[in-house]
Amino acid sequence: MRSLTARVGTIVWLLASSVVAQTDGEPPTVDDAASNPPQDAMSLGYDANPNATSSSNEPDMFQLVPDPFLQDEVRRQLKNQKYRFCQDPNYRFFRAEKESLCPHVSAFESTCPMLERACSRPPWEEEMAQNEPEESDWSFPSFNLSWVDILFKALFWGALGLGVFYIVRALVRRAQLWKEERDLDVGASSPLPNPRTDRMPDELRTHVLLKMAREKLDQSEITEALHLTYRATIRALADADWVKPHRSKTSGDYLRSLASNRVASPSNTADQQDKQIEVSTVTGHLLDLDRERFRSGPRAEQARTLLGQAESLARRLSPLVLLLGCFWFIGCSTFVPQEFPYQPYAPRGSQLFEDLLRRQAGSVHRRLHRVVDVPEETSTVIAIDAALRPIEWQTLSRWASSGGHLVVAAPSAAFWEEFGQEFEPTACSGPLTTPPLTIVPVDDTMAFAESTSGQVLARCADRIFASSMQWDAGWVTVIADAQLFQNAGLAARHNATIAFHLVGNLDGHVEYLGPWTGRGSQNPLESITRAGFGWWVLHLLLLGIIHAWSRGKRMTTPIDPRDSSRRAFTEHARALSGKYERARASGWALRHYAEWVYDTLRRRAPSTRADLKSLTRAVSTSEIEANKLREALTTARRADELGETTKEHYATFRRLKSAILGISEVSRKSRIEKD
Amino acid sequence: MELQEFSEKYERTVGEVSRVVLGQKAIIEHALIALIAGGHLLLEGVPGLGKTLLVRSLGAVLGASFGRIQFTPDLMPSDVTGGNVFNAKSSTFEFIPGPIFSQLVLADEINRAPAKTQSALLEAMQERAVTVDGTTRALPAPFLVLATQNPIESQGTYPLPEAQLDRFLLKVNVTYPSAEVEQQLLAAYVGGFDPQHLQVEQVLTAAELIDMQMTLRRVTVSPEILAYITRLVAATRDHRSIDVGASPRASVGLLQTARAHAASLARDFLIPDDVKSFAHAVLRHRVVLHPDAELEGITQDDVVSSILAETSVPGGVS
Repeated sequence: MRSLTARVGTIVWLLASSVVAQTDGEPPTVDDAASNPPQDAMSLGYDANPNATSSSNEPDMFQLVPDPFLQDEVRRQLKNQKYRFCQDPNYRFFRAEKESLCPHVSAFESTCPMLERACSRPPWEEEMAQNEPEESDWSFPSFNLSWVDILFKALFWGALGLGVFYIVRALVRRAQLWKEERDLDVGASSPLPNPRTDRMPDELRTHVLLKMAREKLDQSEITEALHLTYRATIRALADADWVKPHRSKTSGDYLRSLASNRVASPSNTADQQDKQIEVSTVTGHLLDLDRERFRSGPRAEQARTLLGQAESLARRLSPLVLLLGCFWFIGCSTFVPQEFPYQPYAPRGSQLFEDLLRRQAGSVHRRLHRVVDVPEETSTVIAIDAALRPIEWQTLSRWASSGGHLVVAAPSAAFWEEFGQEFEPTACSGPLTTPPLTIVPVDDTMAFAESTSGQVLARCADRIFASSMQWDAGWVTVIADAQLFQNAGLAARHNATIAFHLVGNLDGHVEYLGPWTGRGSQNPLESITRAGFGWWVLHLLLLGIIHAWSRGKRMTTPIDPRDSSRRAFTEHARALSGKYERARASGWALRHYAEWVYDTLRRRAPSTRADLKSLTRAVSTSEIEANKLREALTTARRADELGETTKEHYATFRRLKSAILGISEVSRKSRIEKD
Repeated sequence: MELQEFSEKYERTVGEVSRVVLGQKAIIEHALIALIAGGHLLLEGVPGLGKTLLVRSLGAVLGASFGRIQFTPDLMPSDVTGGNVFNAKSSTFEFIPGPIFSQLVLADEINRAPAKTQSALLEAMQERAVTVDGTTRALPAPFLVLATQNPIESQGTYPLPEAQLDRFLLKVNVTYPSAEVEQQLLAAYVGGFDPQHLQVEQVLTAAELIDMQMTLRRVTVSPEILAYITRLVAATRDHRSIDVGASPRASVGLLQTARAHAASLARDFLIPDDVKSFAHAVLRHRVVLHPDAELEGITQDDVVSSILAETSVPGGVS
């Protein structure tokens, strides 16, 4: 459709051009071109005579008339608020842009209504100088702060890494929770499924729920409508971050959390009072909803009222959401940063040309990759300010010689090396003309010296601004600079008509090259490296390898063993000891252990007397050991009376244990010796 | 009785008891709800929190006959129920009713009596009747047992059997009052407050209480709420930390307390909040924890909380 419109526009424009030409008594132009071989010239859409010299070409130059459809399209496109230099009266130009654009402000009357006001403002550099605070006598002491820089970087990356870790952990936990909830749902809800309260998809938003409620109400399913209204209300509150919904929460739970979160502290400030009013409104609404949802025989009229209240509440809360979202997530601010001139929608950007090109041409491909080949279906290659390598120009040269049309604006030295022209464009201050139209310059104009071949399409004073030359079976159009294809260039008076006249016929596929060409990555690794993530990926890879190496064959097995229904003995023991510790019963446990030790020793030395001293002497090899054992046993047997801490109990336990083990070892050795 | 009147009487009763039992409004409400729902109440808490005072005040406010049984290890069943005593004059056996033949019975430190004596309460609590020597005698209506027990002492106590516990509609944990409330209490004492001699006004008669109990029938329950109650109780039987879940008596108890709560707010229908607010008190003493859970320090309240957090409420939003 877009292509068709462009074609119809072109036909009308060509007819108009023909009429103008005949009226002026000038030689026929496009129509003549169409009937005049070579066919390639005809296909380009402009009259050309490659064999003619530049001086002899001038009388034959195409008599161009403004293309009303294209100009309308330019005006339409520039109404987009993104073209701030055209639409924003407070736009600030850089000095260079101001000096080149503002002298021609009248040329932008129809396309950029606000440009004049923007031109009345001082350039950005001056405003900045005015706003700068005056220098004080005090000067900031200079330190070598490189380590601070490193520290900040480390902190930043550390925080980022930690954040990523927490996000991943939260996601994993969320997934686990979801799984557990699902399992519980299956288990808990299976005895009595409740069709009315079955969970609906979480993604249902407030307005959808309200709409569904309205439908249910119209179908006289009042209870269902009320449930949906309730869901919508809670969803609206959740969206405003007032409550955190959960399927197990009742209205009471929500109201309690509202009361604690929204009106945390009693205050007489207006804001706090507003919050109280809001909370009381919500409270009343939720209570009314509960009343109607669960009472027998709910009334339709009441349900309608509640639905209306819910809609009103949702409306009231939604701007709040937008505002909060604005401040919290995207950082809305009234401050508009200064626009860099070469940004896509800025005066020197090329967004407008690309948009127009897409409307005019059959298909357009913005080429990011290097020019190693040209697609077969391509009819035109447009290279504007493209910094291609010689080999890429060679590719384009071969392609052009086989019948294509290559349009080059602001060609680089590599281009001339390939195409054999040994002169460079230089600055030109004369008027730019494409008779009978004049190009409005929006930048310093460049121009070539007279060429020996090719047809002149536009002049700058007595030099050439744009020319076209035959290249074997194809054509090459060279334009000295790229200003005509910039947003500001296209916006000025009839420049768009001239620019597209220079580009020629755009039927078929167009490859669009620019400064970005060749900057695309050839493979994912290159893409990662260019994005500056190469080291990170390597780092992760290294960690992965270390992890795989440390885990060995278990790499793919789950870390945690499956839960078994029976607990291991150690778990019981641990739980038991934990229980003793919580109950502060470690003294009690130690006392029992000491009693057991005492009984064991008594069995080992049955012939001794009942007192502890005799017993410890009988089982020990020395008096020192006997004393140690006696002390440990005495302490342990009175552990729950002495009021010692768990740590001290544990120390006593270890002393007793080592004493017992020592005795066992001695008795074992003595048995061996006896044997 | 109209629900509005019900609600007003309820509020007045709570207010009157709160004059004596300071800072325990939630406990008072639970006790009154148990009374209205026709169930029995088990109060658990350390000594000195006003459990006995609460029961005595409640009895005074209701104007009901009040009997107190101090449970001790040597208490016999006949000390509770009463028994046939030989009358030498008439040469016949006469039945001397025990303290259980009161409308409001305070079973103080119920876990100090052995199981035999505790079991004497079983029939009384469930059937509202006592059988002595083959003769069954009905207890006065309304009949409510308010039992207290001390959770910290293990020496010389006999834990209540599950069958006995199940007969208590609510088990309320009486906790320490907050510092502010305790300060108010002290200030009241300084001002001459003496709960032992404080005269509470009778704001409710036994007949009115029975009327209130009948009013509960007017509180309607939607099928969703019934399903919610059933899901909650059923969840106790499948829970990983519970060995023995709650009985159907728990479901009925939960329903009745929720209805009483709704009526106290002058509402003639149930909402999920009514059920949820009494789930702990109804279920905590009816579940037997798995030994593993007990070892891990999980309490019955934790389990009930987890069940509440896992069970969808009717019309809940996820």
